[in-house]
Amino acid sequence: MISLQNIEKYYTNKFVKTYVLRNINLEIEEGEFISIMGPSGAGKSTLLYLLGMLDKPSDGEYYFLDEPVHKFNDRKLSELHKSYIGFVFQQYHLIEELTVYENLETPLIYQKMNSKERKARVGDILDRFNIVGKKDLFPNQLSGGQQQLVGVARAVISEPKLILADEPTGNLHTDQGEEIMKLLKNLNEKGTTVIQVTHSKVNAAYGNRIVNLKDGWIER
Amino acid sequence: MLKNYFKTGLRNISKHKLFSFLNIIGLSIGMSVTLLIIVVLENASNFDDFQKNKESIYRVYTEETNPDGKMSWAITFPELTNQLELNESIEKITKINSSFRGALDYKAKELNFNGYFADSNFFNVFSYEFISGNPKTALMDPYKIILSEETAHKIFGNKDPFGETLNTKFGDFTVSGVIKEPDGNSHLSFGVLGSYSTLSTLRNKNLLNKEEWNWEAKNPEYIYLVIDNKNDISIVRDQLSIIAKQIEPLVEDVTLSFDLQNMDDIVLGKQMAGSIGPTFAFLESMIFLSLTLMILLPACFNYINLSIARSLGRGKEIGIRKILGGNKKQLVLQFIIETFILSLFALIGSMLIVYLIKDEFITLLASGSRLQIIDISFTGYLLGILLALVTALLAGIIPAVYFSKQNPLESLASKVKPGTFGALSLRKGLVVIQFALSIGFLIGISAFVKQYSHALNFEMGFPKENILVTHLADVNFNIFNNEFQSQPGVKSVSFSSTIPGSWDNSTTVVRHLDSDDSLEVQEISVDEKFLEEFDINLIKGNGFNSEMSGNNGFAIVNQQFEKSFGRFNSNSDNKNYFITESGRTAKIIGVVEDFNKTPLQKESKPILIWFNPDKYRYAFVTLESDNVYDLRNKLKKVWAGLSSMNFEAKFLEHYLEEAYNSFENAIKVLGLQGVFVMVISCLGLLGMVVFSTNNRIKEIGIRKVLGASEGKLIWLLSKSFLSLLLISTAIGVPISYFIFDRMLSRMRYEYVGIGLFEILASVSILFIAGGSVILWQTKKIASINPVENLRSE
Ligand SMILES: Nc1ncnc2c1ncn2[C@@H]1O[C@H](COP(=O)(O)OP(=O)(O)O)[C@@H](O)[C@H]1O
Ligand SMILES: [Mg+2]
Repeated sequence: MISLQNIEKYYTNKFVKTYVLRNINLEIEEGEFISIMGPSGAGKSTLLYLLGMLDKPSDGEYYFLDEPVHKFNDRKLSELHKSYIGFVFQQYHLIEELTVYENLETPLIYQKMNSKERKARVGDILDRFNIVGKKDLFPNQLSGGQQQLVGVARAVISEPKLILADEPTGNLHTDQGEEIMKLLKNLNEKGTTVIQVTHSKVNAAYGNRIVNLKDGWIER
Repeated sequence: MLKNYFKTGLRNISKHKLFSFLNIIGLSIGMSVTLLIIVVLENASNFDDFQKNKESIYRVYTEETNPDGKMSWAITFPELTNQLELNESIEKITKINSSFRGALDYKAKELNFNGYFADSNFFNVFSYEFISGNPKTALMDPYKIILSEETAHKIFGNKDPFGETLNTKFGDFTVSGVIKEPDGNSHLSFGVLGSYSTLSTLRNKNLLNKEEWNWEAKNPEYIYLVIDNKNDISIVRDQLSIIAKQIEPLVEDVTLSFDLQNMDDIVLGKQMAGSIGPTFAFLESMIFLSLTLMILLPACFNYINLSIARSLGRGKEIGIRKILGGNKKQLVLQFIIETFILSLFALIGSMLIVYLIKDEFITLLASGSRLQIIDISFTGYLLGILLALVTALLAGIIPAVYFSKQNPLESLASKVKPGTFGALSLRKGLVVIQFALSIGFLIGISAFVKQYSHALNFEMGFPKENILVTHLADVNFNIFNNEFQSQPGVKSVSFSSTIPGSWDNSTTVVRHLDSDDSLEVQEISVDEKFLEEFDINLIKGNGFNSEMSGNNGFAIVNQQFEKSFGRFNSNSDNKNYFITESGRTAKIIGVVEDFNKTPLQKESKPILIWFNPDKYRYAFVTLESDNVYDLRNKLKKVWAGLSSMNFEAKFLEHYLEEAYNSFENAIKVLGLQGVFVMVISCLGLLGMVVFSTNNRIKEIGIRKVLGASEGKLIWLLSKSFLSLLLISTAIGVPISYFIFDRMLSRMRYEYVGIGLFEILASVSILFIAGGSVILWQTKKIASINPVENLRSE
């Protein structure tokens, strides 16, 4: 599904190149559950954003479903990203001004789905995640765990092939975290590819493979 | 999708109350001025709509080219009609002369009137309804007069005036018709119409200037044509240019040409000298429109400024939306819609403002004319909504593009500071422009105020204090004199036809008995005590004595009259005699020093003074200086014994103030706009100060803990904003000085100039207003308890 070949990422600052990712080679099959681990500043988030097409590699080749992503322009990237990828963040990143319902609806709106279908989809996901009662609440009226639940729901609502989660349980209590991890595992079992960044060995164990990053290099 | 945008927009507006409040107020004010323009335009464009031929009526106007440049005149030569009548492209021709004014006398009643001489084609070209009389013949013969319904009612009450005789300075006229007031505004506004053939008769009798094609006389003659076929217009134009080449305008260095102007363009079109009826003068020069932009734009600037200042808080939302798949177009649209919602709120606010000031504002603009003010029409409302859309685009596009360009990862990491270099200098630039505009308005206003107060304190050549002026109404001047002169506290009483120093002037043309050279002079009729009461000194000859009363064979003139009139060639026997346009011959018995019969003119006009009690309309009562107001009340009682009418007495100073209404109007218009711009600018400044000082709360807390005093902190927070005000001043002062200096020096008044005081006063007001906004907010931040500050992170 995903193939990274010799990916480099650096920032140029006053003519000094600061490398964040070095010579990354990574193959990911459809249906895998990958955990990226490593110390702070290792480049985990950067890698995740590259995979999510929110950022571009400085060098190297990135194939997504055999498409050469590194050659695509912004618009094509945004199309690809919109239809195949869902994001979950450590800070949840819900839109404060919108209710739970509207937050869930937003990705569908951007995909120009008609309102009838949207209604059905949102209703469905509210059911699945057991948050029907919360649909008219605003994010700040929810606990952290509940917010992340919505965050995951929002990531899966457009039925992406790939879910990218950057420390999804980083801000949660252990039992809340466990619930989210189970959710991701569940999605994975139904066929969605999941890539998560985590600092926790316990959480990493939900996955089938661990990628260790250190100073931008993948450790073997 | 749109629904979602509207929802977010509304929530954002209600969530960020300060932001929304500052913007809605600012945009309301900005939009209200634009809305006013729509209302004014609507009012102006309905002019003459009741004319059935409106689309095919054209006016001939004159282009004058002289060494100073070009000038357009609404007036033209009546002689043109002789040749135009031969042109088959022209359906109908009518000519008008607007000099038919003065006083109408009917039995003991007298009424001032304003009207035209018009030929018998007038009613073929223009649509008026007759109450009595025959439109075909009413203006045919000389000395016929048609009254408007209102004029007829004022003189004759409910009686039918048909066939009655009215006396004017042009002779006795027979009423040949009464017409209805038209339904709507017109650039032609008249109380009476006299037959144009009267003028020809007067000319033939040598009572009026007879010279043909005389441009120097600038006779108020207007020609209107009906041309049904638009293709024929060029034929008429060609004919006019051929005529123009053949004529001799009798003025050196001047060439003339003629052109056509559709009736639609008369009120709203280009400004011309010698206009008939009201013109929306401001519109022509686009000054007014640009003033509008000068208010709407700062309001939009505020929005841009505040939106960008708020971008830190919004960055996250934008970032998420992008990650969820929102593309640039969708995000820009969202922001524009949000701004549009805000503009709709502002539209409501601006309609409220317009509703409150509309009538007064329009009356100010169309100065000097009676207007039926119409309400905002449906189209007006639609235009209003369009305006909200345009405002939304104007104000929203920069922040929208700014937001949509942000990198989502950086916005999520809060790495975008509101102070990124480009955005910050844009915002500072906007504030500078706003305050530079404000200072412009302030200097403009103070310049007009100075000019106004100069006008009021102007040395008129006669005393202005303690003279009570009253309209004589139905009281005989002899009785008035006897009753008032004997009152204790009254120094003297005198009478005249007009109030010296007011615009209320009647003019006539005089020439020597044995020469064709003529001079336009202002007339006033006074009694024998007038010159003394007004302290106007006799320089040569004699004053009036009571035996001369009512004898129109004698006149006194001022120095300017003597100087101008003396230049003409005349046999020495006839040197002191003159003949007026109405054919009256008189002898000059004395010369008085110049005094300003009309306000603030750069030079004195020639004045002709008669001793004619028939013309007295005003009494001047000079009071002993103590307790003038008590005395006025006493005199009111005396008056009550003489007349059933109200005692409409004012001090001369007040009358003179009224003469400067145009200044007052300019001050009001500028003042209103100035207040608007200042409020908007201060709102913008407030927003900017609030947002950027809030970002420094933590820093201020640390500095405070380290021992900085509150004063030092206020200074630290304020100095960058104060320097913005300084830059605005440095830019605004020279530019606005230049603009207003040129504008005022071109006016027909004596110009006093903009002084250091006006500039300093304007700058002080700016700094007081802007400074208190800054101080208010920075003091608030600087006085927060540092412990709270540091915890707030
Ligand atoms: N926009 C950027 N400019 C410069 N350096 C950056 C930028 N974004 C990230 N970095 C650097 O890249 C490194 C890796 O960051 P990140 O991927 O967030 O690490 P992790 O998620 O593993 O903690 C860090 O040292 C960070 O400072
Ligand atoms: Mg990270």
